[in-house]
Amino acid sequence: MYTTDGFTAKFNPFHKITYQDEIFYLTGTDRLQNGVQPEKNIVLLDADMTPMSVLPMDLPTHAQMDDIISNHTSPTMKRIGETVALSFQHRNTTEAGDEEYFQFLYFVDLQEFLPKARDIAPQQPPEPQHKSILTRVMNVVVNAFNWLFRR
Amino acid sequence: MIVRIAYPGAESRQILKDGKRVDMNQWDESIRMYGEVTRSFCGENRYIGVKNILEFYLTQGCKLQIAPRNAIQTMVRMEWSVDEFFNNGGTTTFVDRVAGSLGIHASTIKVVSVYEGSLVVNYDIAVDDPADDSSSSGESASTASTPAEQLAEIKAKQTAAFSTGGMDLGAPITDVELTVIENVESTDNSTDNSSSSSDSSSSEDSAPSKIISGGQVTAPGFPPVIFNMDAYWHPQLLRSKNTDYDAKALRLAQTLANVTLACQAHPCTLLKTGKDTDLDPFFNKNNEWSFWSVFNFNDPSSSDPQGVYMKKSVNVDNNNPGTALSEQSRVLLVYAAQNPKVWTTGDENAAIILAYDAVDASDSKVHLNLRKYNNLDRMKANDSSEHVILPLTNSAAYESKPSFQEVTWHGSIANSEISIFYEFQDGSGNLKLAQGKHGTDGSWTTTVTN
Repeated sequence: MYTTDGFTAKFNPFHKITYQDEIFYLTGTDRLQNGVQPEKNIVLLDADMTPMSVLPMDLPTHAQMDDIISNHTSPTMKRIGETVALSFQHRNTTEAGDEEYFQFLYFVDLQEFLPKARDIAPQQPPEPQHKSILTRVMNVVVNAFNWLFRR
Repeated sequence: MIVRIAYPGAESRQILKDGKRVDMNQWDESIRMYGEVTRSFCGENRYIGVKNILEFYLTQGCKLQIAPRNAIQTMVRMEWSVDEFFNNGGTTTFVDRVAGSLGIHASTIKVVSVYEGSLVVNYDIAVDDPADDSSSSGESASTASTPAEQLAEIKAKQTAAFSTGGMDLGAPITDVELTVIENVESTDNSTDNSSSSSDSSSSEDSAPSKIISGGQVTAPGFPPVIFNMDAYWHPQLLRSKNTDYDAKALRLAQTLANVTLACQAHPCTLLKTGKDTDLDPFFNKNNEWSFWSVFNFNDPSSSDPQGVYMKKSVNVDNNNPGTALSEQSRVLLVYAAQNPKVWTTGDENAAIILAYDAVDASDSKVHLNLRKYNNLDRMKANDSSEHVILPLTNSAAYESKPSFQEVTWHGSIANSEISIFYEFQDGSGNLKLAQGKHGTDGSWTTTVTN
């Protein structure tokens, strides 16, 4: 399965994601970019570990990030308490030929998505209804009327 | 009568009458396909793109032959609407642009189909067939002598033009695929005895070659330049399953890949990690913008030992992504180990499990390992309370790169259910993926998944 789409048969750690009742996996893998040049990629897999999409990871515009376009790998996605942490790594080869690494992380606070305490707290019993004497008399009459005609 | 043949593929075909090619009807811009067959003469024909239907007029006693045609088939996807395409000269201008960019005669280029998606144009560049002396224009797309050489020459010319930005088609190009169709001379060009229609064989030299994918050059041997950044940042599906699933997968891919958008709503940062690689973050604290991580350190030029480390990254500048983080509490956890993954069973006071791979002294092979730290403080002190070296299975030469799938924690590794994916090398040297399950009875069972 990994030899399709130019991927090399090399496995990296997987992170399971359940999204809208479907299971997906995130992983990093190498791919021959132009049939010759290997490049690291973050890949979204289906539940059977078949590559579904290469994720380009569009970083925000910033002085340190403008040159970071590709060569991403080692994605992790996990829930930490009420936070989802997504991280991935970028490999850069300097002009001197040295390899250096950057890690990009973002944290999604689930507090805003999880049910609020007031929504899941036990509900108070309904307050007793205060009815006037006239309303009570009318209810008795209506109930008696219904009872007679049902017979 | 008008005969319509639906083909499963879009291979280039031609109608031959008395051994000579009958040109297709002219393209009709008003219906955006080749002009209808008007029953003017036997052999009048057209190709209906997308549906892959060859349509031709056949009269009594007239013998026709359907033959594959030597051609380079090209699919170009551009960021244009169909209306914009036709409002900007349509197929005539398109063919002129291709011809001009490649330096070939426009008569050798046939647009096969134009359809939405954003805009897809399929076109063929045909080369002369030595058996066919009816070249309609007398022009050739190549000066090479044999069809195979001509096809190779045109393919190389097109590949180079697209891969170096030399092809100006009027709109940003997103995807380009080339397929070579070579007409293999067949000996069974027999005709039937009535309708006189026959077919000869063709062979494609390969599956379609991707020249540009998602705005980036992917042609073998050419630098992977990105010509179309908008297309590059837009994830595409590599395959289709069904409409609902595809929509979910694409939505998820776009959500995950669009970090720029995520960082507008959520804290994010770039950490220059130097030689620290494969960070697995855990225990982040929003109020102080900090987090812990385990990682590989494997720098032979450093005096620090290689192995699995942990550290705390602090003082993340929430408003300034890209600011370098300072580090605290860098600790070597396991010497000469690698590929660490953490599973937390609760908060900082609960047990933490570390999975990694390392060479086991008993057999000098790389094994999966599990360690338990009673809490974060014990982990910082590199004081593990439990260590399990998982035995090799499936005749593996080594097992590495563990990643947790599920953990049902019962207080210790020995009695907990732990499911792990990992890579291993089998006895034949093949890399395989496996799933291992550690049972509550301490058992370790594995399944090869590919």
